Amino acid sequence: MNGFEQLLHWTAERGSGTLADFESAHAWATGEEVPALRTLRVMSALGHLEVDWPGARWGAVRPTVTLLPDAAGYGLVVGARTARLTTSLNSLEEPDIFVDLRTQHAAPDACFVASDSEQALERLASQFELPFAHSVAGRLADVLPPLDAMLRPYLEPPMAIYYGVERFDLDENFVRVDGDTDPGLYLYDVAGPRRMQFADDDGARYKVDLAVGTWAEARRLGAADLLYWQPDGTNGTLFAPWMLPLPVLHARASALCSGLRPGWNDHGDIIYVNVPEWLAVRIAESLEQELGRISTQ
Amino acid sequence: MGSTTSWTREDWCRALEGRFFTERSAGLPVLFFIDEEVLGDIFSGEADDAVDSVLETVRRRLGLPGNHNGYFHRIEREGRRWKLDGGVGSPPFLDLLAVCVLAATRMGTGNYAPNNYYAQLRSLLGIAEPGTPSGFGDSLDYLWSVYSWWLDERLGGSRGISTVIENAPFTHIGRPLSQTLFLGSDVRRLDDFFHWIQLDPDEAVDEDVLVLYFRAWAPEESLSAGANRLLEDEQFWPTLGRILGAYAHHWDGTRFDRTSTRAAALRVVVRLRRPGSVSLQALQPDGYPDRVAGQLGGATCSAAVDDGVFVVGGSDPRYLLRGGMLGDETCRLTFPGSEVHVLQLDEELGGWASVSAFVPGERHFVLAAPSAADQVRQQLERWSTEPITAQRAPGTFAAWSLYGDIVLQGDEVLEGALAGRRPTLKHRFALRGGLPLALAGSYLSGGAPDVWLPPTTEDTLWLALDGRQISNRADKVRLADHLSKDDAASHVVDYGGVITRTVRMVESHLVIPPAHAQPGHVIERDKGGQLSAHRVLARIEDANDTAIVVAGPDVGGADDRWGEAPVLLRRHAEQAWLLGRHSGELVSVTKPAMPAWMVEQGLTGHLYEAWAEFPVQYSVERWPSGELKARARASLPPGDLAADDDASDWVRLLLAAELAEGDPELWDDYQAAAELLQSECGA
Repeated sequence: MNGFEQLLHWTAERGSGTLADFESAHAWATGEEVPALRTLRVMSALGHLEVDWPGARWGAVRPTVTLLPDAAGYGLVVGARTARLTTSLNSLEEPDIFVDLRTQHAAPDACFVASDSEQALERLASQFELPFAHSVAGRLADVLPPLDAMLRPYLEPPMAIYYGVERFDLDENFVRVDGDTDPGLYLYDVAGPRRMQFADDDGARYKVDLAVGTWAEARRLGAADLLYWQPDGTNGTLFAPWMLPLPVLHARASALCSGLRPGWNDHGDIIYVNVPEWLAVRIAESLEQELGRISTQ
Repeated sequence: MGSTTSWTREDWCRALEGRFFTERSAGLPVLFFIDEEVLGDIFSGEADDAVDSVLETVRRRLGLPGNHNGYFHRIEREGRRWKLDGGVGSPPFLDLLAVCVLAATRMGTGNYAPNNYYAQLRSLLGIAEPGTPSGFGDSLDYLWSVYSWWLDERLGGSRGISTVIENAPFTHIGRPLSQTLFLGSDVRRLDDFFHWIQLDPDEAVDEDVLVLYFRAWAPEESLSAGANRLLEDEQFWPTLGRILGAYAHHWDGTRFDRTSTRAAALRVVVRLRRPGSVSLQALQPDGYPDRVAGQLGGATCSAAVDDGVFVVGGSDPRYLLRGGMLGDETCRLTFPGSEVHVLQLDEELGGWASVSAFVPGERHFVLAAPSAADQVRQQLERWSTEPITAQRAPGTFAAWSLYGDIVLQGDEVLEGALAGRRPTLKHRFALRGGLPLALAGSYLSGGAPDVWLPPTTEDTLWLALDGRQISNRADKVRLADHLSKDDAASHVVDYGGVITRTVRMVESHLVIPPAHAQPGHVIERDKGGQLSAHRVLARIEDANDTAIVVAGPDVGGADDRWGEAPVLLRRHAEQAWLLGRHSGELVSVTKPAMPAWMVEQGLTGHLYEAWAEFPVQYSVERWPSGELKARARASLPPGDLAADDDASDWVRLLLAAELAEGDPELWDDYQAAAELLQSECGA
């Protein structure tokens, strides 16, 4: 069994825990193939977990059966699957349902469900007392918060620099600097996990995570051409720069179009497959970006 | 000077209490060590007189061998009564316990075999009956337990803590013997021992773990014969653990007793904020002077205290390379030189401060001399779980390299200048990792923890799982490799016969995660209905009733535009239509291409989605054979029937198709409606 799948089973069985708990279990189960917090972001994007970053805690999400958009009738079990649920799903012998666990790199398995009809998916959900929602990505897209909504609740005083500070640069990523008086996104060395703060042009300071902070900084710099979409048959592929990961709900709406972990292309972009154009537009609008289109030619 | 006639039982018990159990011993283990010299000292007289005096008070209260409950019945009753009355004042049986310990210290003397305890005791008490004195076991076991209760519970350790450990499988004489074995000279050596295991002040280490390390350390040291016996005889290990644990708890990082040299460690402190600095510092231990001088890197230098922190004057790379010592015979600051220094953020020292080894999962910097920089960098790039950074060290250390963002997992093989810096959990025995569940000691099946073993000089120390030896090497042992993935049983992990831990494997028993307090997203709208604030709540149930809440894929409180599910049609059909309940509600569906990403994933779906602007009652598919198959998608009765142009295809499909799935009676109703329309419009 993939260590990331084993990690998912553990989170589901535990229900909740601290980030330190997760890091320890992650190191043991996966051999630190990737940083633990990156895995946590991926599992959050895939709808397995919710993370309270300031409180340094995570919680496992009750699974839901959904229908992937324009994906040949494939369903997906989203959420934290226990080992028992996974085994039960995998050993189902129904004439019109087939559960297909697909191993992924650095992520839990994608739990696809091939079925004969949408009624069969609903019946599967009912059998395990799970909710069925046919358009998870659509529902999430309707509530994607704009940048200001993600910043506004986190207004705070300036950070004190005790140990060192780095500033985000759209080309160079984080670069060590002498001070934090200029507007920008800053990363502070503190005891424990490092802290980020976004300083807007008007002097306001916001406590942010990497995703919200980098997109806020991109907006401040007027960089509005960072998201791209390329059609692929019915839907398409959404591209985001690797230094600017999508905020969690945006990433989740995109990832749950396929149930696959975000991938990478040769240019270092983060890619989400099977994203409908209308969803890509919606994401770009909420981040104050103009969606670029890439021709399929 | 005392005399045999002037000291009563009360006198002796009070004097013994005053000698051993004082406020100076608060929190420390107390050894109730009695020999003739100690008794003479307490008695302020000749040792023989003191022994006679205490024996007299005890003998006077002994019963007869034929008595119910034996010789010690009366003294046991005194003890019971005293405890029931609340244990106020001196325990009335301390004199008897003192005689029992005296018998232990006399072993090996006189005309008795060296290991004959009872002969010594009978001789002291004047008991002619051979063998174990009647009632000795029950009464003395009880009285020793009351003694421990008095110190540990009644007094709460405020006059010392008992080192008498109840250890049922072993003999009754173990308790008095245990009080004679660990001497003051042994206590003074604990300083070296704690330095050897790199014990931090305030660090909690289990007593059995300390015993294990002590067993690894002690053979190279010159401990007393008694201490060596403690090490050799398994029955005394709990006592030894109690002694070591209590002293470890009180260790301040420099020394124990006021007769030995105190030594605190200097640490390299790197500050990165411009202009940046590299210095040697140490927190000032209590009682240290404000200034010490000595030699570092072969040069004379000094350190002065600034706001509770020693700072070494000057900043010279030689200090870091060669190390040295400041201070005198009472208080020292020491620093072992090295070409590599591992640093962790330390709030007390206000910068990145050197530590002896990497801590798994924690972020570090590494300061490396030019001679070691390349090999250090190569190893760190290979092993760090995050991309490392590199920069020149500040100030006069510009030739040195400073690598950052280094996080190691714990089982890396580090070599060369980093060889001694591998994460070792500071050489503690530890169960680490695995997939622990909420109940202590329990793990999810397939997720047994790793065992970290300390370095040892004893090849005989084996790690055993359920009695089966699996490793005797100082390293990490992955227990999961020794258990099946679906194992659901309890297992005993034993190391060296000293440390025993139980690991319980639990199979998955939940279908959905337990409903603990879950974090989640809350999104609020402003008065205009715009999404205005998004925050993450630690507990989603704390969200305002009017807010939109998101937990995983679930969205609550938002307008739901997604009530109608798409219709899934079969890709093998040549053409398909969706029909509503009203005549004219009809849409022809075009089959989309198979998405490329699904082809890449090897997903071979035979369906596709179709939507209509109206509620779909039937889908009709035309198969390669020409057949038209209808499938019900809802249970709506026929609606408005209008004989217009739009109705013709709706009528034609209903009349031509064959019901493949759905209610036949409802299908008949729709066919009747179609026939009616057909007759009305003459189609």
